[in-house]
Amino acid sequence: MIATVWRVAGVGFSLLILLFAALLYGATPDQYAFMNSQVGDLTIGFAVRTDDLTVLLLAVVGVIATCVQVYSLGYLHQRPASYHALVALFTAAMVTVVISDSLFFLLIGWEVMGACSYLLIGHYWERRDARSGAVKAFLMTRFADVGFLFGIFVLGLGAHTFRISEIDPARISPGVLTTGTLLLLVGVVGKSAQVPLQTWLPDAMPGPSPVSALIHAATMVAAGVFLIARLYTVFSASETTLTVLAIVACVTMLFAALCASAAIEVKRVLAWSTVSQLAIMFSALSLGTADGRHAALFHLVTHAAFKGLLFLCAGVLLHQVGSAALVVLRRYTRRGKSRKALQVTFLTMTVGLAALAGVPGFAGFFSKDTVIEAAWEQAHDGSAVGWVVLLSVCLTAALTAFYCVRLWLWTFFRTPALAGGIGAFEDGDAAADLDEPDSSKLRDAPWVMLAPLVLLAVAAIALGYADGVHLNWVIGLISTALVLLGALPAYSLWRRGADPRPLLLEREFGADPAYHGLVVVPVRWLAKLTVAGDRDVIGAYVRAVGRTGTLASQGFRRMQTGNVQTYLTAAVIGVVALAVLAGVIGS
Amino acid sequence: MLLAILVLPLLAAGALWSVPAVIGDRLAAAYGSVISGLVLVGSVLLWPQNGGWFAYGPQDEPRTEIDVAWIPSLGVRFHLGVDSISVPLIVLTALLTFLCCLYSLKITPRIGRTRSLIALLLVIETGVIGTFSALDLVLFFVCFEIVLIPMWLVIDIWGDHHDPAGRKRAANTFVLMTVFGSALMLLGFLLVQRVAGTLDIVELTSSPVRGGHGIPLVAALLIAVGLAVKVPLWPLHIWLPDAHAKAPTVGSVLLAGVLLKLGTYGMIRILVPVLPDATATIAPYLGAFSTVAIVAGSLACLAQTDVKRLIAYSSVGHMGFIGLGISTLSPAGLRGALFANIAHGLITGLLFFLAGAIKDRHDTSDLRTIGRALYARLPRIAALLTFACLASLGLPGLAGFWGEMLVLLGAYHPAPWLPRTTFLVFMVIAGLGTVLTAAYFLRLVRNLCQGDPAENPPAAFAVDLSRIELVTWAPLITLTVLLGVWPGLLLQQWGAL
Repeated sequence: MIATVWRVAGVGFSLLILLFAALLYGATPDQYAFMNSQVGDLTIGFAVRTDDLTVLLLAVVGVIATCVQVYSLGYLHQRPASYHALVALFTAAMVTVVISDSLFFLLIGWEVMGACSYLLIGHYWERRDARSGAVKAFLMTRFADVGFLFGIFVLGLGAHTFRISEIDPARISPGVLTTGTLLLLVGVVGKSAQVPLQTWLPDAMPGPSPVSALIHAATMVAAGVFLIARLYTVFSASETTLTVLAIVACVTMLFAALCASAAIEVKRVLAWSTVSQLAIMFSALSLGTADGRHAALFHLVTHAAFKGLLFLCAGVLLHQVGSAALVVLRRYTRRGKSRKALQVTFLTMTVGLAALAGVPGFAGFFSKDTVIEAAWEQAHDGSAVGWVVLLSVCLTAALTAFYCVRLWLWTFFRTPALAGGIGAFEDGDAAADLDEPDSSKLRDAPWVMLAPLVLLAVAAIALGYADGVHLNWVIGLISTALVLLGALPAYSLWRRGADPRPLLLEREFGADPAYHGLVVVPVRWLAKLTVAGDRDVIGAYVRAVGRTGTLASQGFRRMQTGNVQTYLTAAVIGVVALAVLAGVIGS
Repeated sequence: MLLAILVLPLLAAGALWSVPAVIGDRLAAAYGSVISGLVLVGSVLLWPQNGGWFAYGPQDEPRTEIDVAWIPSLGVRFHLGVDSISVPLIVLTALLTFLCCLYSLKITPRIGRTRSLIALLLVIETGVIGTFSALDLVLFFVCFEIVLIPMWLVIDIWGDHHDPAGRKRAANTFVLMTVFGSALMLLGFLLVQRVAGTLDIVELTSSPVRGGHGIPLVAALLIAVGLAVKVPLWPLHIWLPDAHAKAPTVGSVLLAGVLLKLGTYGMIRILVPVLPDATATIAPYLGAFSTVAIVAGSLACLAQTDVKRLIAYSSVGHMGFIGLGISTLSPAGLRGALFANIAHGLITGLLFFLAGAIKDRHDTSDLRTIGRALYARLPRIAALLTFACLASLGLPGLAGFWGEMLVLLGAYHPAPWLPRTTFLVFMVIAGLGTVLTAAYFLRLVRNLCQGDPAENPPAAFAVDLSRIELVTWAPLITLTVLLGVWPGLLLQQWGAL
């Protein structure tokens, strides 16, 4: 009963967001401040605003949230009440971020999202990996949020306002501006899982798949891109910040794409691909031009559609097959079993992967080309940042095509190699692939889950044309060539039944063990040290004082002998001593 | 009105003791609830009807309720009054006492003798409200001391029934350390009297003792150390974990929710306005100890295995934030400290209620013995615990955030006569402290609430949230959310601060 109420409320709430987006569409930009209070000479309070960016993001959030809520009706049967309520709260937090015109109001949404993602990633709290993934996600983003909070202080005090629309970069001194934006960038890097705070996102995969879709497509990680787009005048006024952003983005996109090519679980591949695609958006933003911002937002929208779609597809695989690991999935590829049984999923996932890889005609192709074009214009003007961005986006495009094709082929197709490429994924037990799984009960998901897939698949194609097609043919050809360049090796490796995964990539460059050794272990030691210090040092002093008191009282008790002579002697000695003392002081 | 809410609990406690012991526990608790409920109503009526009244500073006067000579030979006056700093704390005190009495209707310590417990709670309430409204240094000191003895008895008699020696030791450490602190504080007060010639806080505030060296500095140091024991500031916090861990649930709630605030209130009420220059001299050190408290408290929490001790240590960290806020001497920092006072009272009160509920159900507060997977065994209590943890770690949108945020803002922008770089370092370390805070609360949730239910079967008599618990906790939860989304409710009261 309660579960039903929350289900209805969840779906209704996301539809409400869509309704608001539709109502606000075309309305004149406006702001409204409320619940302000004066602290010294600063005003701390809330404010909301509407403009094109708000409406765009509201629409994206509304569509994805509706798809996720509807999909979850069929997907999730364990503790649905808390789940749907939290998803609604999660969405509401993102809406807060999107509509906010006050940095503190934005921070509320920003961190409530972190808390919701913590609770939702840990939805299956019986599982160890879900527990640790949830804690990791929260702590890493929380760490970054400290920087974000300080950034708000620096910018807010520098501009004497915490209202986003009133921050005027021209009136802030350059040093303050750079410090403030760099600190905000720390928060963005954490929230959007960019290097060096990237490790939480892949580890957040034990959460329910629809939640992953929501986190990766419309909320949480997208908030970082949104924030920079929102404060674009401020960010683009600081050359240093943009350069740092460009470096972070370029390193991240290649790093994540390489990690994605070595991941052996569908959701993990997709998670790394999100990190990489977000970096593409950041690189577009780091160009500092209006074109760059436009390209980034365009890519944000198309990415929301196809990444949401892909995670929901992965959810179907998990739900119907029972696992999203390639080692399990490939057992069902015999005689095209999984393709035939999961026909809709197969088709929509193909569309999603094609869009992600940037196959011409799909949405990802157009949006990525816009990024490349914006970078090319900057590079053309002799900007080093432009060149770096251009090159790394091109390289990433090829890598993206590689891992998309690899994922697609190994998930749905039987390799023609001898005995199906024995041991491609089966570490240790090479023959595990040979026993045929019982696939008689394998069938496609219910329609309540498939309908969002179809809707998003349509969006993953159509959104590419939504912005009006203005294609630069040269760039289009180059990027097509890059896609082929990435796709062919993947195909050839699959044909040979081989999946070489360099150890460095499989360990994701050793970031996790390094962080564990550098942060977690010392903190644990310090914690033990503190407790020991409290017990053995501070506590010891207190106990010593207590014991001194006891001993002293025993000593004094011994003096109370009741012997009058002793008392008298002591008194006389005292008087004499005092007299001598008085004489000495007096002279 | 102020006098009424001060005298009523005292008289009621006396009446409760004088009636024969035959009256039942339920009746005693109901009686206590009615009395403390009346006090709560009275304290809410103290809340200003219209804005723009005294917040400290020389320009205005507090609303004096009573001002008569008390010990004329020493110049001590019985001077009571309230302003926007004290009223929220008085309301918090009345609310928590009321909730504790209400809670005792159904759930009491196993030792029994509820009648005396209720009477002692009422005496504590009088003492605390007296401290919050005293406008004379000696009266402040007297009320400060009145609170101690009942609390000592509460810990000593109704404490952990498994460990009589431990609870006695905890109670003794608590009372001895606090009395030691109060003695130093009294010395400081006497020094102030020597220099300024008056003990009246209002007079002292409007014509403060100037000078940051010599006698004012000594006085400030004595008062600061005396109050720091109560706060408690690292490294004087050692009495706190034991006292909290051994105290009964209602005792912990009052101790954490109200008694710790006496120290920070004293700093804001007496130290900062009366000895402004000397306070500025010691502020960096106060800030330094507070920052260490934040980090050390959080680190100690990470290694705790007892849920009540863990929450007790978390108080050390949170009170560190309040101390840091005071030491910045800036509008934002002081407001942050005041806000965090209230927020900490609500949230930690809730946390101790929850810890008590978990302890009662498992007859132990040891994390390993309780086991994991509380989400499966006690879903509602576990969910509330998660909520309280999120609130306590300072999630924006809940009450805990605004205090910490304003304190950090104050440290970013301290009073102009303080060394800014020092406070910037404090700010960064305190910011990292919030991450550690999040870490230990998540560890608590992970080790207590989450886990495989198959390995942690439910205890035999583990009933989920009972009605009395829901009723008692609901106001705390509501206020936590309300203050989180509408900080102006309190911030506006301190408009001209």
